[in-house]
Amino acid sequence: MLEIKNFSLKLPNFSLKNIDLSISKGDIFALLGPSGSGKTLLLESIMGLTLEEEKIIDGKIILDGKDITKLPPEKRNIGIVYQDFALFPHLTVEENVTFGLRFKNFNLSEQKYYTNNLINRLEIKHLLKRYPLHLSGGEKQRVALARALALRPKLLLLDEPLSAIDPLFKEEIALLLKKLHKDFNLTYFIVSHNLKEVLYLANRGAIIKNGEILQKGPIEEIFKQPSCEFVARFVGLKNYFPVEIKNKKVLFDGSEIRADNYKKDAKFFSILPSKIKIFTNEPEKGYENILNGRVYNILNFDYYAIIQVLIGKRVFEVAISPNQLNESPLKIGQDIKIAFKKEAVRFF
Amino acid sequence: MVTASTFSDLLEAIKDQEVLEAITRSILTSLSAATISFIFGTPLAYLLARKNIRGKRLIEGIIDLPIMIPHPVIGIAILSLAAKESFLGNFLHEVGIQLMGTYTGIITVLTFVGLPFYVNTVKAGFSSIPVRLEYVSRSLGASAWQSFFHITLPLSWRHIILGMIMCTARAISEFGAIVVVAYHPMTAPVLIYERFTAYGLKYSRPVAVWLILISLLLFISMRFLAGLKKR
Repeated sequence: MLEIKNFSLKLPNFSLKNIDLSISKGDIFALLGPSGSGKTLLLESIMGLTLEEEKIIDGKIILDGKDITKLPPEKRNIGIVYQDFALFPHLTVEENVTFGLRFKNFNLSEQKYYTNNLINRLEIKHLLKRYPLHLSGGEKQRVALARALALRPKLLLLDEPLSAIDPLFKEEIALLLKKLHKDFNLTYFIVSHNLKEVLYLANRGAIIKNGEILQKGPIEEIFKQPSCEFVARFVGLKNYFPVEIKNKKVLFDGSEIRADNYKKDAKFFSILPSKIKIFTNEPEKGYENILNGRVYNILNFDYYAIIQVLIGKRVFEVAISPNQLNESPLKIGQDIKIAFKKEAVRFF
Repeated sequence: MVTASTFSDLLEAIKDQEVLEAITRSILTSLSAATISFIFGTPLAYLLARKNIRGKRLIEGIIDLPIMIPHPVIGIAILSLAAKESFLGNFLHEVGIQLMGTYTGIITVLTFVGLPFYVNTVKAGFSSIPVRLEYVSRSLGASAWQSFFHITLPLSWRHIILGMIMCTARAISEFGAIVVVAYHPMTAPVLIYERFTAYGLKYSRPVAVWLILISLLLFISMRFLAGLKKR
């Protein structure tokens, strides 16, 4: 459906480098990366908004088999919903939704039926005569979606669709996006800096950093098998440290770690914070790995506490329940032992 | 100043054909300068607000120049540019355009001094409109021109009117450059100056009062227009 082939673009102080992505019809593709990684620039390149000022050095953007690299935005039939919704403030909701229809040659009665259906599905009928200024965040998003979908775009670009939404309504909007995707047979290209927000929505994705794609593929795979340390940290993996495999031994900062199923070419390992136990005295039996450390910091949340433990020069994170912390209080600087089983170690 | 002039002085002044003509001339030439600024200044302001064109700072500097330099210097510069021996002057002469002592000369001067105020005000207006609105409009099938006319222009018309007010205001008050380029036909500030130097304060004051009152009325009406339909 959408193919971005070896696409490079240069700005005075930033560039997109050799972007290769492929999005199939019906995909919900999530482009993930931190601020300033080039997500929005790539989004606007797909839209055709970077044609005038920036220099496309190389590569192609192909939509449904047609090369659209040099096509102006109005001829691409790609919809966009920005994070701030970008509703036209001088137009009513109805005028916003029908704005694009005047530029297209749709069958009038068929389009009226389609638009009415869209308005009903998005539950914005009661808002039609109002101006965007008087709408809530959720209402604005529904209007922006209706405006983009009214033109039946081949691809819908969503810029941080859940970031500007009140946490209470995030789930509702995520469900709505999923429902619209199914009901209207849509293809989404989502840009986000938060993997957790789009994990529910997306089936495929890519991680971008400094204008380069670091990893792409099924979203679960990115989450489970990060290709490098940056991706691992970005997807929120904790206790992710470099490892060396020498003579069938797993070495962490020179000391051996006992583990199952390690790969010969493993470069990193990770342990879930909940799989590590803290002992102030001798650990119970059954733990193959015991490391001496010192309490570095205690972060107390409502339902759990994170104990940061300094082991050599690395900081491990251990999750315990507040009850456990009350029963055996820990002090910053206290000498302790951490223990984990060999099956808790995952390799990358 | 207003209270210093008696009602009969004011009545007598406005009945004077020369005064009436000078004030009308001042207002019409200033509005013409504002219209020309609107036609040429609007795309220029848009370009400066939205695009990273080469030499942008230089263009902005040239536009702001009339604000900084003494106005008789502007008059002298315009006359030098339009002198027969220059390329531009030769061209203007060939097509029959004369600046010295003509309406064309007055309007040229007023456009020159008023344009910076128009461009700067409208540029600020365009900059305040999120560029994403134009992007979305493009994604909805509108061309760059259609996006400008359907989105940018309706959202910035208040700034455009404000820019025209600023430009007209600056143009009505212009004296230094006009006196060099076109002493005749006389605009109100030149007439006030002439009456002051020839007859003194008593004869120049009623004309000045009329210019102030009419300008005030004009600007209040324009401000009223700019404040309409606020949402």
